[in-house]
Amino acid sequence: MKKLIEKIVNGLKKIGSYYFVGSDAVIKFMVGLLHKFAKLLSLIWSLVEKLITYPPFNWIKDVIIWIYNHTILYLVKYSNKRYDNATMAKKKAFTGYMFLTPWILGFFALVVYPFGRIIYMSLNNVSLYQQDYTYEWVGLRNFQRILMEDIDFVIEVQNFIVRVLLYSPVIITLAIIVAMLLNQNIKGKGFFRMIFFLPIIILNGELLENMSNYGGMDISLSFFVIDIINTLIPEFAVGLFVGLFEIIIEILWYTGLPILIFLAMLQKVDKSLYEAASIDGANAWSIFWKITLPAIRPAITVSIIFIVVFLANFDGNPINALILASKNDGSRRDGYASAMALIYSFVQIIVITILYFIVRQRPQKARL
Amino acid sequence: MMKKIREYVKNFKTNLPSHKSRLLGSGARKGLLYYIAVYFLSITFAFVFIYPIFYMFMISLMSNTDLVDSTIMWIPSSVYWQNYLFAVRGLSLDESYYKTVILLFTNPTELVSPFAVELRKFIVFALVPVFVTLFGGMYFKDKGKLFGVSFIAFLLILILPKSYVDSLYVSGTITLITVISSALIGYGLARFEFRGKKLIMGMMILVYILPKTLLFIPRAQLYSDLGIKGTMFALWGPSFLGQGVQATFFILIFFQFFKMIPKQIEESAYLDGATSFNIFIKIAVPMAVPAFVIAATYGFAVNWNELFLTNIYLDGNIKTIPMLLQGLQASWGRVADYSTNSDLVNVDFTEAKSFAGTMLSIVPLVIMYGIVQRYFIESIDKSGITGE
Repeated sequence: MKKLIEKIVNGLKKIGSYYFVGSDAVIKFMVGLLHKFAKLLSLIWSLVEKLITYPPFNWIKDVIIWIYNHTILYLVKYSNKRYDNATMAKKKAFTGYMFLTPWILGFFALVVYPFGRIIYMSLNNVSLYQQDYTYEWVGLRNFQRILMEDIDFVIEVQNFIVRVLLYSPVIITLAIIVAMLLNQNIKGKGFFRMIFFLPIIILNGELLENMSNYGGMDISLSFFVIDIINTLIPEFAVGLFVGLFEIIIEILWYTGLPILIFLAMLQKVDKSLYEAASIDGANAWSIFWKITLPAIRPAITVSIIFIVVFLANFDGNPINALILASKNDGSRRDGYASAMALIYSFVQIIVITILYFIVRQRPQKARL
Repeated sequence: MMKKIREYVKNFKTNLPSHKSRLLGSGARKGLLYYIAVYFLSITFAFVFIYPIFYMFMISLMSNTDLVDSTIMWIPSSVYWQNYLFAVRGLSLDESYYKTVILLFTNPTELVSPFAVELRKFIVFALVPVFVTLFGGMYFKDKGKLFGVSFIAFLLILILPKSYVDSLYVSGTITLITVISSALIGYGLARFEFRGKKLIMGMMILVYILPKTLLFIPRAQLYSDLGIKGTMFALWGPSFLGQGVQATFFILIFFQFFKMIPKQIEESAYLDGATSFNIFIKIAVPMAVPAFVIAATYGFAVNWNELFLTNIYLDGNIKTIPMLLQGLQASWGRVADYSTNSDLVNVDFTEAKSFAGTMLSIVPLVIMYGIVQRYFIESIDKSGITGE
């Protein structure tokens, strides 16, 4: 049994090394394949040979051998020679490409090709009849319908933009606060971390929808508290305040991964910087603004991109449901849904670009 | 006693600086007020985080009469377990997986999902011990223990409820494939110099930004052309090709980790005659264990919770827990007991039932998180998870 397992392991290793050493092993492997192919050809050849060794046809043999020597053999020798003569850097680059082949293949097969197809589909009226797609060219009619005639998608996209622009600063702020809390040296740190990372694991669209449908997602302030606040502050401000409390849990649950990113970043900050600052008489407030915040600045960009992508792809996002429903809607179909998806991703890229340019690190000017 | 108080008041002025430093802290020592503030904030945030789960659990224990009773806010008048009973039926958790296996070999026509799908699922689970022994053998010496543990895991899978096993199959296999391919791609990006690397990184981030709704229509067409729509290959394929859910994120994590390995180690191994793949297996992977923990945990959770892609590509051949949860209300008539001798007031679908289903759907994730959270949090400590 042991020997068998070892044999299988060795075999797998061999296959792996064939693939990953890339380079010579792969080429030799290919050469082997080619030679096998050549052997097969020669088998057929031996049958034909008898026919063509006699005078009227004997020139055919020479021609075929000549072609074989100048195509397949030439290519094999050429590639072998090229690989043997290549520099170390080139060999390494080749191995790098070998490691990346899955992604490159996936990029062309699952991104570039479908992208071209979806553009074509969005310009067509697509109908499906018994597994057969029929395309009817309508030009920009789908886009026109989405943006000018139907209102559902435009409203949802507006909501999405507003939600992203409002949520992301709040999420970032809360994430920084929680990450700084978790970074303190207190007892029960592990316990708090466990709770704060729980939403990363269990958050899904169905769960959130269930909870927000039945009121699990808002901590409602008691009327007593609201009345007290009402006497102090004008009513619209209270509305904002209460409104924040209604979505606070949803927002906090989105902060899971940003907290993680900020925490990892905070732990990288050199402790001696803080000591030096406190010896120089800086208080906690200025330490935060002058040392901590610049140190975690790159993480803000990463988190912003992550949040927007997360909010856009989230199963609870109504736009995803709308696009899926349009695909199955009799009056809309795949073409219309493709156009929707194109507009949506365009909007998303623009939102991310805007946010990126807002938060990106500008070159610092020297201060006196 | 009185004497002590008098002494305290008398010496208060002279002791004032020490009191002050105890309260506000001095130098490196933090004061009491600081701790109070930190604990207060931490506990408040922790409460707000945990509040929905607590609320859900409490509501899920209420009967329908309790729900409409306005005097009952938190604690039900009596614990009503029937919600869970019906939710278990609604999520089809009342049937063990081994029954399906028996059906598979005795009477395949009675299977709910296609024969090939079920057979593939069983083969994958049956091969778990073999593969764990083979690949774990590269890193651990005790192969017998590996085989034993994984075989017990296989037996455990057989007695688990069927829909949990389905979900485990979907998310587990996809996570495994995603992690392996992400590690390979991240290693290729981190350790080798070649032309077009920046372009590939840029394209990766672009792919990450694109919403998943953009490409699902042509991809679904492509898969049905290839004949893999409705099977797990429609989800395994993209995962292996680096296009799985959140795959770019994992690739970047692996990229960060593999970049930290010193070049000298790799070079010395190379001079000793190791191939690149051997270096990857023997040197790089053991040095990036935290990345594997993060990617596996987060990937498993993400794939478990995935609803959109499984809905489209699986054609309902395999029903994961979120899919069943989505249809819980619609399938309520099938599972509830409307016969006359039952408690008719409490039979209707309400939020209590919905919450009971939701609680059941997160149980496996919570158990998994409870097991791995120590390593997960440790890994985060070790990591530079952020990209540049």
